Amino acid sequence: MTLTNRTKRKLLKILFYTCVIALPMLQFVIFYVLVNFNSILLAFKEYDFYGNSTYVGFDNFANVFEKLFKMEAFKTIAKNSAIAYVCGLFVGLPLAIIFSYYIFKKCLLSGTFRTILFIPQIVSSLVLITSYKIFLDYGLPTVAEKVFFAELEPVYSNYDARFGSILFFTIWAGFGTQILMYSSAMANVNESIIEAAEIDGIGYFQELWYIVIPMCFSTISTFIIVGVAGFFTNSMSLFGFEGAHVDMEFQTFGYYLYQGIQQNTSNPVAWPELSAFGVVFTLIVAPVTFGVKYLLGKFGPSVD
Amino acid sequence: MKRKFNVAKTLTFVVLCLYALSMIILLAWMAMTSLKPRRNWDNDLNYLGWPSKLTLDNYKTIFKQYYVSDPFRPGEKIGVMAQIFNSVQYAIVGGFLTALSPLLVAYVCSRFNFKFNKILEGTVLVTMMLPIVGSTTSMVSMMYSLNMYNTFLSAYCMKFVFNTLYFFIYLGIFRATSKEIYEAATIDGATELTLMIRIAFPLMINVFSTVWLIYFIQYWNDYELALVYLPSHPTLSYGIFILSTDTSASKGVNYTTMKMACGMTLVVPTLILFIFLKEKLMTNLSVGGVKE
Repeated sequence: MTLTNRTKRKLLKILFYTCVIALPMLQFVIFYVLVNFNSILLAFKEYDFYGNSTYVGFDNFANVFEKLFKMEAFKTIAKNSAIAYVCGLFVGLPLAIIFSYYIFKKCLLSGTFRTILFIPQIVSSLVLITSYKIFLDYGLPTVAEKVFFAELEPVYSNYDARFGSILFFTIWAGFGTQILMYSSAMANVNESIIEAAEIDGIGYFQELWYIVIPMCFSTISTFIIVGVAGFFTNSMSLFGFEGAHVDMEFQTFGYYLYQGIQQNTSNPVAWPELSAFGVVFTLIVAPVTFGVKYLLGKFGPSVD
Repeated sequence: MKRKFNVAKTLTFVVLCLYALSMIILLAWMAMTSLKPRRNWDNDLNYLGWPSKLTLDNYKTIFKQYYVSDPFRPGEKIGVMAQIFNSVQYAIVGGFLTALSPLLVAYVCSRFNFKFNKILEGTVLVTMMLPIVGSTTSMVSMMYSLNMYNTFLSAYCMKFVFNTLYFFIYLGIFRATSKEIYEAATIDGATELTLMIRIAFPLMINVFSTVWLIYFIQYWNDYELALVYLPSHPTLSYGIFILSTDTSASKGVNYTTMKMACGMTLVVPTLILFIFLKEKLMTNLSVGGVKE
């Protein structure tokens, strides 16, 4: 049986298609599907010191829930994660929108500000953290002494001020991508609508609230939706600040998980419980994410 | 016409000025500290002032004396030059692969009208939306199983990911490209491979290079991947992490001025790239790509 030219061409197209997507698909199957499947399996296992594993049912989950609900340290971790999330949502996000709007309106020095706000995306966060920490401890007290003739203790080394300093940094250094995305979305807002509103005497913030935000809400809502997982994944750059030895008082869930695996890359005994934490957090955060997506779609500002 | 004073706008301007000042002061202060003699900081307690003498001694010391120990091979020391080499290798190859994978998949999705395209597009959308927490443990376990742990190959395999935002950006541009170009080339006898390499990819070179650049900078600054997956191949960023958080790291270099010099060594290349390619990096990627 001979193949017609058309069938041959179709088969060649299928062959080409398969060859091109083969490696990306293989990568996806191994490093996404299998890794996540393995994560679930790990959560039901226990390892001994020789690396041999046995299935232990829900024991790891029982340990996770006991830690989450009974250990005082985890209440602090939950509180810190919540503070970081709320600050990001109610301080970082509004500021990013206001700054983007200022840039979008091409106000005084907007181009310069756009560039400077993007710098944390370019400069290593670790380097910024290192100099920020040292500046808070040495630079700021010197400024206080020389300029205000006041005595100021090293800020970062002050235990009571440390969490606040770290929180401030995460917001201060976190604008880059958001500014770029929001200002790009704002650039697509129909100019004639804005011109008409300006003729009607709309104010600066009224224009932002009633026209610009509704018209680029899909971009803003994407950041809000993706950010939901941040409750469990945001490490607040704690690893960069303190390495693997952050005081429990300052830890977040994101840091706890990352530090757990970083300290135990060669110690499989610790892996199952960390995986169980991951599975539990995913089971919590996945429906919440889709719920937030639904709610924002239903009750978010309308373009009309 | 007299301009109306706007409180909200003025307030935003003031906040932005403070932000810009804080960023510039921090970077300038870091650069200045890295050029101070060590004793000028440690003995004279000159924390803010101009250096008693501008010197590159901190940089020289860092390049000569600073090393990171390999946790898997006791006694093995990896110096700054080797760390820089690792960083360059990881950022160039890793960035290229991360930019390439979605390009390949987006091209075939736009070129052929197969039902599997819907599955691919849906997969990217769902995996981007679905938050998965704490899979690092499983990834480490998988790397051990595949006998790839602590190799650059493991990092490159992880980075050859196609389910990223850029998949949709590439797809949008490919779909906007005129189909007539491909038809004309096909009549001239071009194969599918020729169409992809000689026609489609050159049209995308501008966008692709921007995405590559974005990932290059991201991976150049990344210390977390090296920390977990490549402990025997420390990047410069990893080296700075050890220097800034481990007080027992490399005696003789654990001084503030030297930490700043090490930090500047990491920052300067990306800042130079940013100065020359600012517009490229900050351009809206959804625009352009096809030369008129």
